[in-house]
Amino acid sequence: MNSRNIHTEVSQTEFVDQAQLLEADSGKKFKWQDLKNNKNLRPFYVLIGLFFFVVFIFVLRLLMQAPPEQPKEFERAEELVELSPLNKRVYDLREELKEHNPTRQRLPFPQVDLEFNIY
Amino acid sequence: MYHEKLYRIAYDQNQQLNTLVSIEDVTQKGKSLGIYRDEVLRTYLNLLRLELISTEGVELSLKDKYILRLEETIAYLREHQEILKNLNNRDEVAYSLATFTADQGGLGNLANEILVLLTVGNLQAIYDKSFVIKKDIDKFLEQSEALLSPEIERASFETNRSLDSAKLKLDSFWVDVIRRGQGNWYLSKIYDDLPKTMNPIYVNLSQSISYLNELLNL
Repeated sequence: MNSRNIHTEVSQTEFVDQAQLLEADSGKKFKWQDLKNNKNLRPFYVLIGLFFFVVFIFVLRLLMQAPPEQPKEFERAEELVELSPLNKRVYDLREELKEHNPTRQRLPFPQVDLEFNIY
Repeated sequence: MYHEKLYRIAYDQNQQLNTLVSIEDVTQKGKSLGIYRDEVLRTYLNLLRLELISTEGVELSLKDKYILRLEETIAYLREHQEILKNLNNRDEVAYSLATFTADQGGLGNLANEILVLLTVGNLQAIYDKSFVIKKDIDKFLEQSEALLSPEIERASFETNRSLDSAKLKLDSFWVDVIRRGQGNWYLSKIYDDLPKTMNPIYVNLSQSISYLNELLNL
């Protein structure tokens, strides 16, 4: 008989016997009094204290902080430059030239089939 | 586009099925598409005609020649459309559509030629206006005795030179078109490369207008 079979043939009742021992361990209740007397936990208390202190400072700082200033809207200073008649004509001509830029075509030939037939 | 789609569907169905119904369908759809095509082209050519009439810078002999061609084409389209509307026979519809293709196959080229004329005409009109403004600026500077200043005199000279250069390019273009453009779609070939061909004139005019502006503000 090999070792594999030995394991599979272990009686299940053995677990029932051991159950009492397990229950005895888990039944032990946690007591605060034990912690109070434990001197090894002092650094932990110090850390907790520091944590709360930092949180307190952070909250205090948030409360003391002044509300953020609204970004000032740029005042539109509409400067009306009066053009002389000659300047105006030159300005209009520049606009006209832009309008007639040869890279733009306003009236391209429509996409129609000139060669279709029914046969 | 919608009528063209309908025609394509009918045509494909007829190619596959070749039934009496599909033959009738493709005849109707083809006829309908032909009528709409005439309408679209007529509207488009009329727009071109109006644009050509209102563009000042186009050389007059060319302008008259192309307006006449446009009017002839528009009249042809109107007549073709009327004929097509009254046709019901399949062979007659097919013949009418084939005649259109034979007569108006170069319609795209004609439109492209006119678009080239419009582009150059507009640039010519801007040159003409620039020239008039330069004369007026000279008068203004003379009255204010500003032309006596060497700085302004030099600026005026440079402006004149820039305008002369633009004029030279435009004149050379018109001479070339009149000399070479006799029924061989010469202008239409330019259309394919229009921005590149016209760019030197455009840049020259843009520079001239900047000079005019500077001259006034010196």
